[in-house]
Amino acid sequence: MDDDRSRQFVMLFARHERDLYRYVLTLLPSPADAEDVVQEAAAALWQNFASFDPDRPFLPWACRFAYHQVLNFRRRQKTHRRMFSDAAVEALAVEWPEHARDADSRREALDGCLGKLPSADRDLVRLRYASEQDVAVLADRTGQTANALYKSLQRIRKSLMDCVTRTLAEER
Amino acid sequence: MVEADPLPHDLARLFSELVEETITDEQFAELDARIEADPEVRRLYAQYVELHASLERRWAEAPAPVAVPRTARRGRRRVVTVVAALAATVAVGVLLRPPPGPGPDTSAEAPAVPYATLVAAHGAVWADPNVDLALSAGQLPGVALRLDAGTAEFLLADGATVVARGPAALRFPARGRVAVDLGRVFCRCPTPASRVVVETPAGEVIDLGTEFAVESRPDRTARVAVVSGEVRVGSASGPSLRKGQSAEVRADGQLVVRALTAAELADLGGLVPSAEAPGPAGENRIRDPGFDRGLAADTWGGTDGHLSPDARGRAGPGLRVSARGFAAFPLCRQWVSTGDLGGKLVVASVWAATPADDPISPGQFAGLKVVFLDAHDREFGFVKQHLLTSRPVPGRFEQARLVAVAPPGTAAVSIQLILYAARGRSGAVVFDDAALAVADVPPTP
Repeated sequence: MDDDRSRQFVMLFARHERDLYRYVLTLLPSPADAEDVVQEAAAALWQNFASFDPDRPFLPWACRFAYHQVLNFRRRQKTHRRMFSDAAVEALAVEWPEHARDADSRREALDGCLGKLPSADRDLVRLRYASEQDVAVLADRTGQTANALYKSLQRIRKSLMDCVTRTLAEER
Repeated sequence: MVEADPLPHDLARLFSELVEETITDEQFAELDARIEADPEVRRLYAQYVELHASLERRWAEAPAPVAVPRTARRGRRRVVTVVAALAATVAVGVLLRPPPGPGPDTSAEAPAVPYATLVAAHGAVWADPNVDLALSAGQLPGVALRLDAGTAEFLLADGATVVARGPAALRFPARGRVAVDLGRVFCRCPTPASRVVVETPAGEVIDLGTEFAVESRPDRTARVAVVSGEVRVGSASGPSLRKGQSAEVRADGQLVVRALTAAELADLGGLVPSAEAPGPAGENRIRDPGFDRGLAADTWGGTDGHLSPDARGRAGPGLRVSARGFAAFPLCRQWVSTGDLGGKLVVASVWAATPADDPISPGQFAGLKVVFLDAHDREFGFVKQHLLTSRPVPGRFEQARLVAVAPPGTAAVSIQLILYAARGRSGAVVFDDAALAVADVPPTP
């Protein structure tokens, strides 16, 4: 594969990797599993990039490969991992493009909703996502119980999701 | 179709247990059954995963607000790096991030109508990153804004522009007033209604229709320089300064007036509003900047169903972004790999007009946003500027221009052209002639 084609692949993959990860994460409940599958999908996409039509969108093409990688992963890991049922995964995969349709708007709305959180909640959600540590470890460090932190994070994420949904509804 | 119903509590609990990996077998079985049976649950679940992944991406690798050693949680592996290695064509930079220091509590009550709105931030580093979040959301925290570095440009409620350069501490205590406790601001008051009063520990500077700069120092002295028009210093009956004059304001309120020097004028040059800031005329890094090819896999993409070519661009075709009653913030964007840009000057611009056949309504406007991405394609900073905010004439193009210093670790940028379609089922913006250039930061005079 020539340099231009290689560069085009890297550019397209980097541009869509975030969406591809979200797609896979929707189908596999474990982030670690989703990461593994996206890596496998990246290799498969690279090997098959010659068949990609540059006049067509990259993400649907990439999702097809990723879906097969998800199915392969599920077959390999079925006895070791907690997995959604085949019917649930198929339905999630089929409907994902529709669910992802307003993802840009939801991300933009999330900026505003984070700004509306009380500062203590903002600090907590930032601590959770910035530190890359288990909640149990964070609880130990912050002097709270793990259960209290889990409940707070559950409440904050629900609050953010409701805020994003409300924001988009108000725009209509 | 966007539903406004809140997320049910039982699903919020199941989703949360799932993403925290604390879900029990019984809970997982319940969730699996509900996902399989109910399309609405699937929709909510997909949105929840999207929210979780957005938060993960937003703060991945960011320093935590309290000192906690990193140990346990497994971070996301860097797939782009793997792909880059496979393709062996892209240089991978080093991830760095400006550290957010401890800052003020921003929970104080903000005014119902903000006295000022952040319209552009160039390399701005706020002492409290929550301030950035609030300002970006159009809110004005009711506390002092501590700008450690960079510049921030505010549009006041009555039309004045205030540009602050860090390090600075400033507040907007009332409509038409800015309190500068420390640092420099440049004020432009284009109309009688837009006049502002600048409060400093050394006294007030009262605008009489002008452009002027104020520097407030830690020793409670100040410097005032008038570029055009006239100001009064100290009080409404205090001495006036006119165009071309500069004054040192002592702590006891006495003024030492002298002529504004060329060096001071050059120094003020770094504070002029972004639309007039000097910028490089370097290579345009945008592919298909004039939208001649419309939407293509290797150029422009964005919100499906809301983008279309438009023949009535500024000179030739443009790209139309339409509300169409669905998306709140439809956008088109282009991902530009730049190599390591840390510390470089990034200048982005675009022209935009609202079309006569689908004009935007009051409250709707357009935006130019430059998102900085690290070598692993993670967003870790952005600057943005709004345009078409003041009853734009359909068909008449306006230019937005952003000047920013790229944060350390910048390996790519995403340039985004956004329609803020607030509360409107209709409305469109046509973008044309986008540009993104990079240059070295000019030395300070």
